[in-house]
Amino acid sequence: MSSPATPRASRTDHPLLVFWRVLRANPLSLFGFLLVALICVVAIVIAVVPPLSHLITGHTLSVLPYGPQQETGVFSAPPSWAHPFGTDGLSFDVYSNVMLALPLDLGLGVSIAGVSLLIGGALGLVAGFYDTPGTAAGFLSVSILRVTDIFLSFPSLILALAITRVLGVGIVNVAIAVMITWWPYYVRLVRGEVLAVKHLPYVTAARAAGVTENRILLRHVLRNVTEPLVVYFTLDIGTVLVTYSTIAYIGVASKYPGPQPEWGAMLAFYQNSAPISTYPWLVLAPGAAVFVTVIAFSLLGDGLRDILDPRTRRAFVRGTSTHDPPPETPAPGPAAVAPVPEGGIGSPEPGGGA
Amino acid sequence: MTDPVLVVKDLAVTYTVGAGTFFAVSDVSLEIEPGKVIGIVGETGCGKSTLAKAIPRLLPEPPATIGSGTIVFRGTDLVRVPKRQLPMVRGTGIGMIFQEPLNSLNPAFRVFDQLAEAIRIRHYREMGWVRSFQGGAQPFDYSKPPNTTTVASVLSKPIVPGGAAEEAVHDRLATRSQFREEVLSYLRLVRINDPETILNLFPHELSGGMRQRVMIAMALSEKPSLLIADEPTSALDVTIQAQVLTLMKELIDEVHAAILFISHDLGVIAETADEIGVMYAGRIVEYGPVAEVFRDPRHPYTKALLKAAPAHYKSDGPLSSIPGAVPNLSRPPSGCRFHPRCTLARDVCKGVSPPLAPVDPAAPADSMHIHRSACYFQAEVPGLP
Repeated sequence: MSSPATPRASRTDHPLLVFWRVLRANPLSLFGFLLVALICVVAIVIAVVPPLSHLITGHTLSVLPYGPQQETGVFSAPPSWAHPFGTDGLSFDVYSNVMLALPLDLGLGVSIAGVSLLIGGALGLVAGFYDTPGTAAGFLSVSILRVTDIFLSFPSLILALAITRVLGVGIVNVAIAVMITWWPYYVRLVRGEVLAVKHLPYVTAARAAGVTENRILLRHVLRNVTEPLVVYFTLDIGTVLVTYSTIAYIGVASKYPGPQPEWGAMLAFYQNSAPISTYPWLVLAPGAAVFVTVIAFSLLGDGLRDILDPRTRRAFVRGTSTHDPPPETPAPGPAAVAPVPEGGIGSPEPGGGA
Repeated sequence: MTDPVLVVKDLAVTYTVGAGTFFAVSDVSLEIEPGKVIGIVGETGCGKSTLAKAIPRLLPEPPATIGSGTIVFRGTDLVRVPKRQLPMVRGTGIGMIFQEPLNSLNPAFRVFDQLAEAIRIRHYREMGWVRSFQGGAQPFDYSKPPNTTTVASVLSKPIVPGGAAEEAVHDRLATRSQFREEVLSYLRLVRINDPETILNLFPHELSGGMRQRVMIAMALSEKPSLLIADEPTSALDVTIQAQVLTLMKELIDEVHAAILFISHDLGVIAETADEIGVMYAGRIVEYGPVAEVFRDPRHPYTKALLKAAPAHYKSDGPLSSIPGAVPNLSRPPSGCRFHPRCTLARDVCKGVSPPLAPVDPAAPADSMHIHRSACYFQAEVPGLP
């Protein structure tokens, strides 16, 4: 069917190949992607290997040189090969503690943002799509927005602290508190996007084709809202991490030193326990861990924006491959080249009559 | 004569915006038989698109409301159909082609998915897997009359869901390749050269003409018995417009659906339509067979409109225009809505709106298909400059 001049690269391309091409075209996104992949793999290894090895072989296999509260005998030593991030005044290995905190902090970031995405996203879809005033759905939509407004009228950090005060101290309670303050942002974001998309002609066209309202929402609207949502979610993981660390820094989430280290609590403890100018590595290590994780997700988020948008995706792929869209072909058949209609109407009365 | 697919009677559509009410469409009556093409022309803002979207109830309600009148499609008054059931009417019953080919395709889906959705909707309804619309006494029949020859293989599969043929409807789209072939056949139907490649492209990778072809293929793939084309060629440049128009003309013969063709371009209507309705300020002011209306316009507005159209690009002085502008439809003029711009206007025109009366006094007054004009002084119109 197609002429030999038409490249067919796009047809056979596996989505992952396209994904790789876009990443290759953006060095920063590639860096972010690799960093996120590395962080996730390390976190999973640290979290999974010890209990799994205990289950299989009977004795715990540790991937880190020291346990969370294991004394090394070396007090307040600067970074060295034996202790990459140095040791603290209690002779604990800072590297081991920072790495032990990684699964917890990453998991909190992803799960808090993820739950907010699901709750806020679902409410935002409903609030944006079924907003016809005067109907039951319209009332529901308005109710969702008013409740959202109430939550958004408090500074989220203060609100989270207040909720923590009610729920009590603890890692899970703080996570729930942050979650409660986090979902309204997703309602706002999704509702705005839905409102923008649902009045576009292609939604009307789908409606005219006989697609039901619920299917329009779940197929046409949701698909076109996904892209900004996923980008926001990725960037948001970093923001959640910073917020959680801030609350943990105050000391309401978990105790450090303790069985489960956490970056915010580590920062708070080291800042108060030793002068920063003399022992900078103690504060820098958990601080840098937060920084690197947040940066990794930010870079990945920017890259995802390009990957998820078909327009920029093709632009990137075109820049790095030989693919081009097929040339415009005029219609074959009886009227291949249609004559231009001669000046609109056939002039029924030349000169306009009498 | 066959029964009309669509009978619109005294339709009135208003928009309520803020405190004001806009009378976008008033007292419009139409009848379309299968295989007929009715063209609607008029200036911008005279209610053409509102009429097009009001028929399949696509207008957002509110702000739009159908104030009065009936839209009887295959024996069922669509004005009275509950909102929940409207999707069953659309697509396979009333198909639509839109003005903006740029935005009328979902940017996130490849051409295949766009077409597949439309075909799947029809297929499910044909197979009786989802509820489909049973209009009035007649069963809802998606089939086309068998007198089509060219692409008959594609468009004339008589399948009656829920009818007597229920015993074993052959699922001819059971496999993936059959489905793919069906999609391809519609792309070929709209004369796309290389459908295999087009199938995998996103809408933004297609040109305007190609997009409009895909739109037309989507509308046709549902085998609608009434097709509403809302300015399908307006957003295209002249050469592509000619191609799409030629395609539409060929398809009109092949598809044998009733078509409501809306355009502001008199030339387009002259080429495609059997009958023409001229709209002004929400009313049909003149109606009749295309040739008659163009040869002997009997409404001052039609006359002025024909005069204002550029003919053959001849340079016999500046183009004429109609003085004044389309009235604000929140406060339409009393009586005949054209009277402030009309050279024939007299006191009687300001009183009661003139009815659509037959041009030939001997003709039966209730026929929908003869030449009629809504002007008290229609006999004087041929004498206008």
